Amino acid sequence: MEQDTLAQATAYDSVWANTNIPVMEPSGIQAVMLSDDKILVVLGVVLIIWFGIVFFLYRTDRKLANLERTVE
Amino acid sequence: MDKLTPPVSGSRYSVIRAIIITWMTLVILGAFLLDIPRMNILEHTARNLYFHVPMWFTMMSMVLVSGIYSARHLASGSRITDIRARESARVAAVFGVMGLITGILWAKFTWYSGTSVWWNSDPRQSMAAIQLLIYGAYFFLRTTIDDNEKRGRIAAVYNLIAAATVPFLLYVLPRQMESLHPGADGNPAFSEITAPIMRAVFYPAVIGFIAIAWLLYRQRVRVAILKENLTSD
Repeated sequence: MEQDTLAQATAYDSVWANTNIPVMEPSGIQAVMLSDDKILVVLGVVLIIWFGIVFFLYRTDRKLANLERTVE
Repeated sequence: MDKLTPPVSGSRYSVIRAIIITWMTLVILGAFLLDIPRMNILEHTARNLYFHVPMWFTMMSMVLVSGIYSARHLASGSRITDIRARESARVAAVFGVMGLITGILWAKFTWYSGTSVWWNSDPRQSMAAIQLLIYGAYFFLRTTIDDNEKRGRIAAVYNLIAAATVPFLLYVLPRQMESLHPGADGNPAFSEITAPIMRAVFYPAVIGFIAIAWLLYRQRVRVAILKENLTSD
């Protein structure tokens, strides 16, 4: 397994090549997030940003709604 | 009091907005679809470079905008500069929070992979959290002063001090300390571990997120100007 990973390593990889790779079998949320080369972590990060922007838009929207009530 | 003039939202603005949205869509497609060199431990999370790092670039650029308007507010005392300083600081804080949370998630499945740790007080993360608290205090400070002029002046002084801490807390100090974050003492830096193909997505992503922040900021300024004009009669 470790050999396998090292064989696929690229030039950009060399600095990390000697670090310890955890060998404990992951479980639960770890198992899900670490599957498919950790692509779901990227999804998580994108979702955090998406919800951050949505949250901000929601707040702006509420400010506008308050103003609309003031006008009426 | 004089009415404040909102920024003009004509067809030029619509075009710029459409360009920003298209640009960002292409960045997201590139971020997920382009092949990147395989890296141990990071695996696909290397793609977070396109999302997590621009959060901090965006945060810092909005801090810069905010600092400039605070300085101008101290010089001129005009209401619009206070509004612009406040709203750009708000956008900066939101991007800072997103930067910190995305960083926590990324660290969890790389630095702390195989452990049950989510937060280990890494200097980089701790400094970022302190920075956000400094900005939290800015908004709290604003709520404690009723008089408009006084609030504008005091908030501007505090904001300039807060902006001055940013380079130290987010850049200088974490690099001096032992951190797992790239760029820290003894760790590989951006230039050593980033493939050209990743730079081709990363730089447009930085520009795109700053542009998104500008859209959000501009919206807020328009709402704030409307509110000033409606309530100051």
